[in-house]
Amino acid sequence: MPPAGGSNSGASGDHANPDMRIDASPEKRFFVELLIKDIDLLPAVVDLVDNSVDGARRLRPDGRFDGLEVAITANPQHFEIVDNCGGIEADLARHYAFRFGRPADFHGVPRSVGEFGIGMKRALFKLGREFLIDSKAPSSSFAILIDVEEWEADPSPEWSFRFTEVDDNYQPSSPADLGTSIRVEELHPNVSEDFKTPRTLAELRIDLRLRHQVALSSDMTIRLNGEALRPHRPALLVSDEVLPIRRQMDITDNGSTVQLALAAGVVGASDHEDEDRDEGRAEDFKTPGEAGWYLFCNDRLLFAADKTALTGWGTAGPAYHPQYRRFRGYAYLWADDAALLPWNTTKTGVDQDSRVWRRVQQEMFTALRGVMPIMNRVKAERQQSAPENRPLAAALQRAKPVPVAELPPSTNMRAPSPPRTPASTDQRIVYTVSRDAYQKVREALEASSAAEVGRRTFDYYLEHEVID
Amino acid sequence: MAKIDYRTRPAKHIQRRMLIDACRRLTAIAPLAEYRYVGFGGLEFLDFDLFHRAMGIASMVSIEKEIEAVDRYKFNRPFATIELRFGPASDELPQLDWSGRNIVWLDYEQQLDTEVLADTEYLSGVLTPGSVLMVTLNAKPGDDRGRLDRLIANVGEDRVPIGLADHTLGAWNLAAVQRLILVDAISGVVRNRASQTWFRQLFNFRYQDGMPMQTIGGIFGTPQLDDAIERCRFDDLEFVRRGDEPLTIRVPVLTAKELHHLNRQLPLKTGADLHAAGLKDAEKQAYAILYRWYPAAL
Repeated sequence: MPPAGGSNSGASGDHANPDMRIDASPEKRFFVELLIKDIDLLPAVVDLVDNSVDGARRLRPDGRFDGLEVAITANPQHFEIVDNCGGIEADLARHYAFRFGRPADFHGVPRSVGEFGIGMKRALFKLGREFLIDSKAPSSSFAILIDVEEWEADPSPEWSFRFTEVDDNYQPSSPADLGTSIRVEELHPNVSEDFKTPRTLAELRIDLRLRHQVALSSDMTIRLNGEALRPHRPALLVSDEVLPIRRQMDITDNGSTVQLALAAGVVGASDHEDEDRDEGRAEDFKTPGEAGWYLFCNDRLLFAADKTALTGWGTAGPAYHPQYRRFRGYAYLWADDAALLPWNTTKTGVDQDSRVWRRVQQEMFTALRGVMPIMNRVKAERQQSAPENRPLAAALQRAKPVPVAELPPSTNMRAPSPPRTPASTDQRIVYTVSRDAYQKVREALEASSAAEVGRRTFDYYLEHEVID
Repeated sequence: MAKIDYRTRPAKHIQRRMLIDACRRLTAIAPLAEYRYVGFGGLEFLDFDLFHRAMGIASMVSIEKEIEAVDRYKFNRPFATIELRFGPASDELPQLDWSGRNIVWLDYEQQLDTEVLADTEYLSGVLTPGSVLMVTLNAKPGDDRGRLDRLIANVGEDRVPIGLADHTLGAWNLAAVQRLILVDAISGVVRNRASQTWFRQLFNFRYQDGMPMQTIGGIFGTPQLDDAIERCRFDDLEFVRRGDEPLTIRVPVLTAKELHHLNRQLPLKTGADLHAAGLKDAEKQAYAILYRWYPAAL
């Protein structure tokens, strides 16, 4: 007997046609939990800013973002991000923006950061349990209120949200009105806790400044709790004698092209840095610092200050050591189709299986190897020569930082190459004897210092016992 | 001074002359004078002498890690156009301009280790198509206990092929493994180059002038260069070895009279045997393979 009601369903079966269907439908609660497990709070917030930057890029394809602003408010009660970057059209929201994952037929703005169609939703779920989204786009406007509790409880197999307001004939009074505002209420307790901590907010500031440094440098304003963030502007030392590596090339894979620009060189010694500090004393170098590689995909920073095998340290050349603390390398990748770029879904690292990434990696290895010898020579020079006789260090001292985008092309790193001098042939001896014995020898020698006692006893042995 | 080397390291000398013979064929790719030669000249600059005189290469760079006797190296430099660079190869190689065509011979005395691999990988990432890279290594397996451990210490466990043991690393087996690791390293880099580059092994020499040594080498190319490289006809050279089978150079020690007698019978007609009173078959066979490159001054 088939189960009651089963006989009139086309999917269920009888002896001749057994039911072949197996249920694999997702469970919303599980899906949401899974989704937010893989991302930390700060990257989730940075992800929300990605949407604003993509909006800005749609609005201003020339990449000049002056007048565009993203304001983030994060406090224990709620989180809010408001931008004037063009808004989301109601139709885009209906069919694409709120889907989990990007439909194959969707083509975003060229050189976008949003790639997976997951960032915004994941970030919202990560933050709290109630979202209010308000958008004013050139030809439509809408508002959505999502109560996660309610949404999860809805058993309908078709996943959807509902507009609370929508106007498909919206007429903005001024372009400045266009934008998106997202507010998250009922923050998760840990999020609320984190937003109470000044330290977390300070870390968020660093993250936003670093990861959106290109947008900030293009005059976009990003505010965090009212404070306008300053851009990071990477620069490398340049002079008549010093020239960092700067290369540009196209990487083709499967007929698609990714552009790569790469710069590697050294920065000035920081003011508080004592050049003569013993680099063998690890305890003198507590913070990992800013040395290493920076990778950007469509102007969004993926990783910063990498000093691992991923970027060639300890594989293509020596492992990172404080003598390389002035190294900086920047790799910028651009593709019209963001899917070609080697990011992972949280945009905190690379997809290491990407062929594009492996090619970029190879170029990074070569560039790193090209800069290492300069830093090796700085070290050798410091160990072997008096401060007034260090031509390479002096040349670096005279060089001035030049922003990466303005560097002239060069396949090699150039720097003065002073002749290598053999290591000192001196040998230092230190030994300890009893004070009594020392006093006796010192009196016998009529010497005035321990150093003199040491030197003269050695000379005595050399003269009387050693055949030259 | 050169004569001393012929007498104490005849196999190496023969190998050197074979490498020159192969490199001469690069003329199908570009005029030889457009190539630059980069090597470790040592005090004798023997390879530089040959690459200049036999191939007409003028642009040359010698890297010397010994920095104590700079003046002596300068004094021994045989040609004015050799640029001397003092420092470890790992520091000096990345400072050279690699935009032209090069013949590079990393003539190490050490075994394969992370330093050699890093230098080789660096060059594999920058050498232009049509360039040649050769790497000479010490291949002595050493004490039969701890061979595998030494190999792991040298190159890192991630490079050591599966299935090795101390007793499978004796005789020339270390050389075989070192070749495998080295070629794997080169291919790994070449695969990831932005341009469609490939590497083809041409040389797999083994020889023993006292110490077991090996030289692995080959040429870098791109699909656009396939025809030109085909025209080099490297496979016509009987010492070219594209795979794991090596050419082992064994140099029989012969008197001037024996040499003269043997040379008159060479090249051998098919099926014919070499005749020389008192010489072992192995010595005669070795000579029949090497006679064209056998140093006359020996």
